[in-house]
Amino acid sequence: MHGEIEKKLKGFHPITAIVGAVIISFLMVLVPFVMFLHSSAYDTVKQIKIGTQLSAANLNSSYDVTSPVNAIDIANYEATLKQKLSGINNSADFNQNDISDQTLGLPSN
Amino acid sequence: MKIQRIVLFALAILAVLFPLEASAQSVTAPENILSQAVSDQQLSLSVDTKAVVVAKCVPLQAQLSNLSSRTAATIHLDLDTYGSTINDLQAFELRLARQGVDGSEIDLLIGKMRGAMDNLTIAGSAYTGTLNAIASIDCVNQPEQFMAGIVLARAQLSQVQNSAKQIEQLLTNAPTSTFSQIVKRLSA
Repeated sequence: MHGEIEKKLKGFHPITAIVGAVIISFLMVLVPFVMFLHSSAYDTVKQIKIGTQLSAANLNSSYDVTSPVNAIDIANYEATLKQKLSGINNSADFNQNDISDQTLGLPSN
Repeated sequence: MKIQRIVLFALAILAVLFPLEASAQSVTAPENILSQAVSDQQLSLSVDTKAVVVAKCVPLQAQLSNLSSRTAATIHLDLDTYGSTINDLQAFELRLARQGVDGSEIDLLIGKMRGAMDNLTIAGSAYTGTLNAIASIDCVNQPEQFMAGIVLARAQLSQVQNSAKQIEQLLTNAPTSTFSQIVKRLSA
């Protein structure tokens, strides 16, 4: 009788409880991690990472980082920058008209 | 008794994992974006509108999928251009530092550009994600999702436009806000 009560009070074996706790902790980390890997947030992080790596690689390879700067260098760079920006046409590239009801042939709500 | 313990143990695991999984799903699943949009917009379509949407949905899905790819490629190219501009500016900053001239305006410009580039990446990712979600819905059974997705995409496109305009503005203003200060310092 006494032995039976003692057995009832014992509950889980300590090792089983520890292993169980470890498994639960592991799953608590694993599930959100796997969900994050499959999320669009992770895609965005990857894009930002690629951009940062490219930027760092370019800076290390082909840029003059030693010669002194003068006012003419800056004036020249302003012209280069203007030229670079002329290749970007935001209003045409990101145009609301692309997904307007009229363009898509959808009824207006 | 043993079975009761195992069931309790399993329930404890589920009680912990289910909210985690549910919260992760609600944030990430692309199909949820459109269902959420329908709910947010409280959208209901008339029978006629539904018929038009169902009829046009499939060809429009192909068009929107192309638009998504084109927009993603454009954003990528723009970010490359801005990234190389940041490299140019960093190189200038290093050169100025070597000759003992303060180039902190360049640092400020780079910081603002990086922030704006991140905004463009995030806004672009949301916009193209919505276009891709629209392109993969069931046209016959989900015309509401299609229309709600289009409305959502328009709002997200506005954010893309704002972010792109913000970077362009920063660089357009750079000669007066950044370079003129450094030229003054170099000439002094």
